[in-house]
Amino acid sequence: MRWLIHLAVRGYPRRWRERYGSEFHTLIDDLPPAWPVLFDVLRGGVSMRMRTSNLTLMAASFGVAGAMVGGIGALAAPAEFESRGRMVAIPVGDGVDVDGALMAALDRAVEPEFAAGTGVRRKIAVVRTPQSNALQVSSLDPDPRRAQQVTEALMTRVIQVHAQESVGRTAGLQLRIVERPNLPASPTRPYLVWLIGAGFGGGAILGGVIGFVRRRRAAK
Amino acid sequence: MDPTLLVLASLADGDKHGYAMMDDIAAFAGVRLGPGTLYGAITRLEERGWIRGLESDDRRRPYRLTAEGRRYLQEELGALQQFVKVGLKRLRPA
Repeated sequence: MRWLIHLAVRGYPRRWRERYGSEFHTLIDDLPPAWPVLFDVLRGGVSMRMRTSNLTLMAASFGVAGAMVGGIGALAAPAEFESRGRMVAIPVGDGVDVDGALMAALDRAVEPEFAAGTGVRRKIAVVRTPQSNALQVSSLDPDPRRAQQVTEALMTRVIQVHAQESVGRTAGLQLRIVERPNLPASPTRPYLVWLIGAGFGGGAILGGVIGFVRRRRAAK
Repeated sequence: MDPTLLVLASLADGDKHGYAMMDDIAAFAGVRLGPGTLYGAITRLEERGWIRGLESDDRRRPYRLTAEGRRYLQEELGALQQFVKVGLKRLRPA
C-alpha cells in the first residue's frame, strides 16, 4: 500500500515534486498507509495539476479524456448493421415537379413506419443525391438480414405508393431501383465519430471552465 | 474548515513540519488533514508569502508564519469571531 501512495506522488507536476517531493515522501513514510491517505494524495495531485496547468493544456487534457470516454461509450454500444440501396426518379412528361412528387411519395411510404413507432427504432434514412434524381435508402438494425429486409420493403413501398398516386396522370415520375439493398457483412458504428467529437468538445469546454474558475479563485 | 486557515493557526504557535502540523490541527480542531490536502494548503500559503519554509538538516522541512500571514490570520479570525458572536446571540432563547 505504501509504495502505491509513493507512486501516486508521480501524479503531481514535476516542478512541484522538485520543491516539495522530498518532504512529502517523508511525511507519507511517517503516516500509517491507508486508502484515505492514497485518495487524498491522488486528489491533491489532480488539484495541483489543475492549478499549475495553463488553460489550453487543461482544455486539451479534458478534451482527450472526453473523447476517450465518448469512444469507449460508442464501442460499448451494441453493433448495428446498415443496409443501403439506391433508387432513381426519372421525370416523364413536361413540367414535372421532381422534388414535390418525391417528397409526397416518401412521406406516404414512410408514414406508417413512424405512426407504428418502428421508424425511429429501425433508423430509416432516405438521402437524395444533390444534382441528380438518385435516392439512397438505408436502414440500421442489430440484425443484418432485418436491415436488408427493411430497406427493401421501404424501397418497394415508395414505388407502390407513387404508382397508386400517379394513376390517370400523363406526366410524373418513374421510380426505379438501380441498386438492391445489400446484406451488410460488418457492423457500422454510426455514433463513434460523433461521440468522440462530442466527448472532445464537451471535455475541452469543461476543462476550460474549470481551469478558468480555479485560476480566478487562486488569484483571490 | 479551510485547510489554509488551519495551517496558519497551527504555525501561529511556532514553527512546525508537516507531520507536527497534522497532529496539532487534529488536536485543536479535531480535523485530520490528509498529506495531499496539507501540502496543497502549504503550497498556496507559500506562494502568497504567508508562510515560508526553513532550512533543515533532515527531510522534514519546518515552516514559519510570516508577518503577512499573521496579519491575514488575525483578519480572518476577527471576522469569524464576529460571525460566531452574532450566531450565538441569535441562538439564545428570547
